[in-house]
Amino acid sequence: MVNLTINEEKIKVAEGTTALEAAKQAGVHIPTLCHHPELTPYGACRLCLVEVKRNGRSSVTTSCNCAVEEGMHIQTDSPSVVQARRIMADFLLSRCPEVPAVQRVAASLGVEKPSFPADRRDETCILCGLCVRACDEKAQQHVLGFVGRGPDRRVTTPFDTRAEVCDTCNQCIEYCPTGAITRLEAPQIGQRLKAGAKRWIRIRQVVQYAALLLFLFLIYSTLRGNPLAGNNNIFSRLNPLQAVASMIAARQIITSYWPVLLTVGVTLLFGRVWCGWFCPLGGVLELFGRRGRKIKWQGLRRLKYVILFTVLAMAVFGSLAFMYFEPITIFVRGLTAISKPALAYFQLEDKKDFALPGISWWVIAIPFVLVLLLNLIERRFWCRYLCPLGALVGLGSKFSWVKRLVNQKSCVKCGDCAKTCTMGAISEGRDFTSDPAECIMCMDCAAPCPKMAITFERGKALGWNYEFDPTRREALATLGIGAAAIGLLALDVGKVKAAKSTVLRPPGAQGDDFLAKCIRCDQCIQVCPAHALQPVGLEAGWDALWTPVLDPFSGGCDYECNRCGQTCPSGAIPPLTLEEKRQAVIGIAQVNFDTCVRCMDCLEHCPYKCFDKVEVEGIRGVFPKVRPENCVGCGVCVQVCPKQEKLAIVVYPIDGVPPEKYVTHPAT
Amino acid sequence: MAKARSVAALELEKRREEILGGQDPSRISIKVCGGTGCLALSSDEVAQAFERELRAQGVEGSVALKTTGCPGFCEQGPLVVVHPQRIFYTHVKPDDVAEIVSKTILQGEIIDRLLYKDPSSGEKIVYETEVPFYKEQKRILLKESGLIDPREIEDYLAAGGYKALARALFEMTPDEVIAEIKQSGLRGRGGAGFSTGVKWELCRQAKGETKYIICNADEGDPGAFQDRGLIEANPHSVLEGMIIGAYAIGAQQGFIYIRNEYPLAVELIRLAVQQARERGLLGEDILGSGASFDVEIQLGAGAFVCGEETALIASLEGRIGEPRTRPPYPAQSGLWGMPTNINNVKTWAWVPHIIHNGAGWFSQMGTEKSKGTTVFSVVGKIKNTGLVEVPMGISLRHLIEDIGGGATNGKKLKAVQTGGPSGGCIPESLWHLPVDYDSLREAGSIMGSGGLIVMDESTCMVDIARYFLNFTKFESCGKCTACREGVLRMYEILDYITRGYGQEGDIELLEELGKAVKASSLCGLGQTAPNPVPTTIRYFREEYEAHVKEKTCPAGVCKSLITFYIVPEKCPGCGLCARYCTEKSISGEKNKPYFIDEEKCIRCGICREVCKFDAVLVK
Repeated sequence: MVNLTINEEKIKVAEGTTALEAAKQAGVHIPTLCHHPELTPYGACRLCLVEVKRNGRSSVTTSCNCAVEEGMHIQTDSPSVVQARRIMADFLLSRCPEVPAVQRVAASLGVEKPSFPADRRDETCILCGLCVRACDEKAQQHVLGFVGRGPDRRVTTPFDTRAEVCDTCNQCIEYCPTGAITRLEAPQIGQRLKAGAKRWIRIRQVVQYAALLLFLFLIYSTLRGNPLAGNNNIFSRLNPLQAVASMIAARQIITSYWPVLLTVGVTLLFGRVWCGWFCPLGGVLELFGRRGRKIKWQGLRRLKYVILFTVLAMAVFGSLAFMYFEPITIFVRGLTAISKPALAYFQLEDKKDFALPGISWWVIAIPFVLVLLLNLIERRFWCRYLCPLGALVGLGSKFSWVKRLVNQKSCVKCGDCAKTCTMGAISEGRDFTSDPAECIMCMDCAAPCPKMAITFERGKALGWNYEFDPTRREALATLGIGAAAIGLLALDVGKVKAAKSTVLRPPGAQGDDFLAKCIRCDQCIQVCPAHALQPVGLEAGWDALWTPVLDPFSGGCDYECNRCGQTCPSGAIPPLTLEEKRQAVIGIAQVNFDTCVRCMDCLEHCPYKCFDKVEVEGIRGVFPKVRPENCVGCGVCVQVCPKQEKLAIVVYPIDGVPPEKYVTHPAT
Repeated sequence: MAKARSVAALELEKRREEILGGQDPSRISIKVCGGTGCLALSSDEVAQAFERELRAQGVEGSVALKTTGCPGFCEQGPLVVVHPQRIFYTHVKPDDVAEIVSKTILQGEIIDRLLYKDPSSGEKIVYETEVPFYKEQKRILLKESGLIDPREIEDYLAAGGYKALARALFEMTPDEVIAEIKQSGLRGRGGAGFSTGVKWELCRQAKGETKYIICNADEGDPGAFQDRGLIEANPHSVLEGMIIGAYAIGAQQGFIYIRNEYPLAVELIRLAVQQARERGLLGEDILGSGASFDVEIQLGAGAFVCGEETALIASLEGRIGEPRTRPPYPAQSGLWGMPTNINNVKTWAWVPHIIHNGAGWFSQMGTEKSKGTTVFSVVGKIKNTGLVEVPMGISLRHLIEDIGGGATNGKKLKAVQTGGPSGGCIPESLWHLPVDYDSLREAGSIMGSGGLIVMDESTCMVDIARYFLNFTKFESCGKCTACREGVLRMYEILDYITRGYGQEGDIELLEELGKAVKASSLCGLGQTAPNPVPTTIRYFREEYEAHVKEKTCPAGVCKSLITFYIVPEKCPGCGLCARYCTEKSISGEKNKPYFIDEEKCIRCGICREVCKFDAVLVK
């Protein structure tokens, strides 16, 4: 053991210890950029200067390669040392003004701005020689070395030729304090890793845009009235939030959601890949907006959990009232809103007959437009802060097998990854790690990392205690909102229950069961060839917003069509056969003899032939009259009625058929 | 403790006697300088002309012709000295040879035209020994320079060479050799001035079977050529010193690290090593003493920093020439991790003298702390440039004005730079200082390996500092931040100042940076590289201030700060300047004063040089 004094503190250290290590043991911090405990000291950066007194002589020397001696006195903060260090830091910062590692060290020594002009502002190499030593001592390849003297000095391979071993060895990368190592021109170190990382990004992009195109194709097919044997809804059926919420609300296993198992499996294996690789809405949001974190209050990310839990809490109480926060349905509704009128326009022979739908139609696109607008604040704003599906998948990702990992031994805290992250998932304050619930595994961050420190591999198996874990606050908020909503429902505020019976539902849809399953995707509205299905506003109660209703004034249910049941992912509209659907009672039509003009168009067009000709007491003439026992309420009669606007014929819900005002007799 | 001399040693002694016995002191011999300086002035052609002429005039048998190393007075080359009278001919051309042979050799006449003319008195001087340049020197290391042929080992033997080696091998133990060197007070002649004896002792005491010694002949300072001059004139003296050192330290292998830019020196030292091997002075069982030692020559690739011992070792090992932190010192862990002793050429060359003459003889010379003599290459704006050897402790003024002959062109001398690019500038007012390690250090400069650059009033001190920093900036290995970045930044500031972009505070910044670089650099190069700046600021601050504040260059050197103009009263209108002007910026009519167009003038100064009437001035 050797006795020595560090800044007036006497300590004992093992023989052969360097002054730098001794200071560390004494708890004294000495800055350095060229030292690594695993490599031979080099003494190049001159930041670790200390004043050493031995045998009565004092000298300023580098502590990294100064072996301690008995009775040595080391002063780490004498004015001359502080001044020398400050100037050395200034020199290094002037050489590499834009390297965060240098900026940090310089700032810690009181140098905020470089005093001298940089020769090349993009210079990142500080010539510390760590890579050269790693190549010699760790990799034992002796490939890297310095060439040139003085200001021309640089690191390269012999004769600036690329060495093959540099493709695979990569051991030096970990030691580089600035990230310059992968930017060296000739050796091209880490280029293969970089190419690998880029290849993954390309693969991901191909998958992502293929998914988006597939989604758009499915929407197109749906619009053209082709349910593709019930597979046009595959994005909904892969969607765990829809599956979970509708199953809870309906208190039954909905087997059509079996593809969700794929999503669950993929999530548990690879994390939030749904969002980064497959979600079509994510694919669109990926296209524009600013990367990185722009909003200061990142705690907002937990809002998505509040939305998720509220949706689920409502489901527990049998209501899917807030399902319109679901991203796939947002996208579908957004596309429906614009494409459906467009389709109607093109289908019309006489374009003059075209009328734009009213405001109640366009509002279904509001969430989609909002999501797009919010993306201008930050890229994937929706995915970061609001998406309940992302929250659900994210919770699963906390337990996923593969996670994004940052090699902390290698990371130089340059922040390049955080700048590229579309999710802003990378936390500068937490060593550039990310909450797996925020990381969508897009892998964009791996390629720009100058240290190749970011990998995606088997991580901590059980994951909690991450940055944006939902907390008690989110639970309380959920409780509050859920309780309020359920209270409103229970107290029947807005006469919700009564309102429900005032609307006509798609064929086969059964009252409460329908609402417990309908995930508000409105794809049925899209597929309906006669434009009979329409999104309902608040008429059916605030909890049924944007659920489909059959509006005979828009169109009648096509006798030859059962596509809405085929398209519905949750079975809210049961997948009836055509024959079954024809029998499914939607409502019952009734002729209003006060306004009927006796044209008999309804009688002629009724696919069910459920009209009789009657004479009405007190009114002269022969009128059509519905035979209620045969009528299913398809609304075709309404559609053909020339006095539609005068309600000459109306389809009523089964429970809501008003009593006949007049006595009728079959006409002779 | 004296051992019986071996047969080989006795034979060597016998051979020496034979050579000496065969020599006739009265025989005429012609010594033509074959050093690099005279060679550049075609002294080889002079030597060939002598050979032809002697044969033509039929006296080749009776007259000896020798091509020697550099006798030092390079200013006057090519030099020819006719012995035994030591008639001293300067600026000899091949055409002069016939005359010398027919007149001086055959008839003993002196050729007045070729004699040296003392510039101060105007008198012609006939004999070498009376030339003031030589008279004031005390030549020990350089004693044989100009007398012996460096290609002939027998010349060296005749001059008493390898006597000291025999003495060391047979009469002294290694410890006694070291004690003798220690006692003499010899300090390293490479510049740092560490005690040679102590250094040897450390290396001898270091643990390890294999030990190395190295001769540092990587002389890179601009304007310095003492090591080259010594090797070219007397390579065996260096070799003998190394063999003695190896014996004392216990080294089996030595290296001479010499610059590739010194082809003649390389050739001669190679030849010397070969001759020494043939004579059994190198290799196994030297002179039958049982001691073994051999030497390898390694050529440097031209990096100034390889003169630093750890960088030199790295270069020898085949690695990039960059220094490492000491300790461990080479004496503990040097070449390939073995104890290694490095000394400068002149230090090694001193060893045989000290062993032969004894420590007491050596320590009589010089000052209390700096013993012996030292060799300087005196260059710059003085009359007598060349190699000089003077006792330690003589004043700079004596050295510069008496031996160096004072300023050329009657200008006023201003300062002297000692120690090469990493030395400092000492102003004329301090020239009373004695030349030794310690007083030069106190004045802010260093002894260095012995370059002296004398500057007169036409030298701008800012420009000279800039020049030296440009050199060190380029020659810095770049390993440590302090030297690589610091010298670069200091150079940039100086460059700005000389170009007229100096700012208030630049001088203080330079001082601050100089201190930091000096304190923080890894090796001697960086620790001394700023030296020209603080010393020039310290002694010539007003020149800096003129550059920074008034944007003028008092010495009229910095092109961006000066203008040339023609004084009409002095200009007779000869038009010579206009003819020389490359930019056609001078115009005028014959016989009327010319004038300079400032816009076109590139300030090359050629007009001022060619003007015979001193009509071109600088402001």
